[in-house]
Amino acid sequence: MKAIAGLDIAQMGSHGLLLRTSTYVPAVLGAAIRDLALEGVSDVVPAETTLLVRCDHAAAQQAVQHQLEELIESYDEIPSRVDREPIEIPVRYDGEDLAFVAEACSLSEEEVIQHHLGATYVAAFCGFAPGFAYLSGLDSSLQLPRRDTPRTRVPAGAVAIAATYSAIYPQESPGGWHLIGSTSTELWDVARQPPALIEPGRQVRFVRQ
Amino acid sequence: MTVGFRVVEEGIATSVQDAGRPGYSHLGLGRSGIADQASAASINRSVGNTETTPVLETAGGLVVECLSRSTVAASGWTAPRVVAQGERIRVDPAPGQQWGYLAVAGGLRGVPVLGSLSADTMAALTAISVRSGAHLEISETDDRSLPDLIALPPHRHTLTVIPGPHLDRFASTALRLLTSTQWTVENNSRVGVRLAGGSIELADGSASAASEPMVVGALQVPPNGSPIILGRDHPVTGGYPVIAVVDDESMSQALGAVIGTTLSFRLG
Repeated sequence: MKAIAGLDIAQMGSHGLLLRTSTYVPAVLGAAIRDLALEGVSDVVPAETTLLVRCDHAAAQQAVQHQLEELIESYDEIPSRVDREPIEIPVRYDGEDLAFVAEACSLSEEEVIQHHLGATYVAAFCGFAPGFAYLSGLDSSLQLPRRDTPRTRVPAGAVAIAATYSAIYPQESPGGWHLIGSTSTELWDVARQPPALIEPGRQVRFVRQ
Repeated sequence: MTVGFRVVEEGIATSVQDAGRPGYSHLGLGRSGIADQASAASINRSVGNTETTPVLETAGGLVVECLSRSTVAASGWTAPRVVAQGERIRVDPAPGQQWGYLAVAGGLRGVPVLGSLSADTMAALTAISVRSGAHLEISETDDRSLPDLIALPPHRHTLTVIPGPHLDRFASTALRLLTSTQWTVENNSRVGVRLAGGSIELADGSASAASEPMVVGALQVPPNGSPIILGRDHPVTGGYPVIAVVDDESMSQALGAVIGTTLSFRLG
């Protein structure tokens, strides 16, 4: 483990390096590392506060760690966002839980919609299902715990909120988030490269349809 | 292209697997790939294939009918065989193993999804159907020299682990308990291997925490204290702390251990 201002790198098994940071947005740092296409790196995976760099071979682990340390020490400023236009997602606010969310947040349904539309989100990380991006930036007035009882079936394209995140269900699946709307935008397509519409670090805005 | 097999009985947890699908974990799609790579590699090599040529993987009960003359090898055999059209082959794991494999000279063939034929149970992704009645194609292969004997991978029940990365989220005694306990495999799926036999104590207040990126072989410890070794189809992120990660050299033994196996850990 080596200390760099606001970041340390720990071994995670024989192939993984776990970067723990209080200074960097893991998704944004991850996108910068991925852009370098370092030799011996197969995956760069952000989560909420950490970033995994997975190597092809155990033998590459040490060399990759040195390169990451050099890269991060060379930063003049901390990268804070991925420099691309936000993705716009058209939404119909027809979710089954819209009335529940309004009541739980002491807002009108229209206020819930306006608060949801008002934010610019950043894809913090993906997980749960292919193409499912945890979008940070949800207005504090809309932050609720997950449903007590998850639904066994949430349709593809459902626009949902839970805790500090918004998200869109890419495929039909079970789910415990509050459904406030829907979109016909395709989030995941294995025939597309990359297959996910929303990559970690990308900014996202919702527009009313 | 040659028509190779017809699936007569799908069996349990049967899928087509190869080296897997690196490069998409950040988009929520894990690597997947052959669970017990050591077993599959020796069977693949015996018919002249590379170690990760696409194979059938099953927890047992798979029956296929051969639709053309081909050279095949399966778990539990000592050497490959040339099978005739119409011949049926049953595939089960070798004794003590969770996963059985069927390899054919040339390998299974299909249209890769994002670079791989591997099915991923976590992502509900299937490149090649193995339902009963499905036809499986195989790649053309040149005549080869006589196939080799199937080398048995070593049976090891002491697995090497690399401590961390979340040791700060465990009680100080946790690592000693991990390495001094005889663990029993309680359940084994492509997502993870569940162990029983002891209770690893978390540090106060660290049971629930932010989601962290996960790797195959990570020993995740939920609040009940019984570790789970993450398998090839593990979720790309998870909230339980990881006390240690199984070393590459021990990965096949960890993921290939059948229910009831006793496993212990030593620090690498």
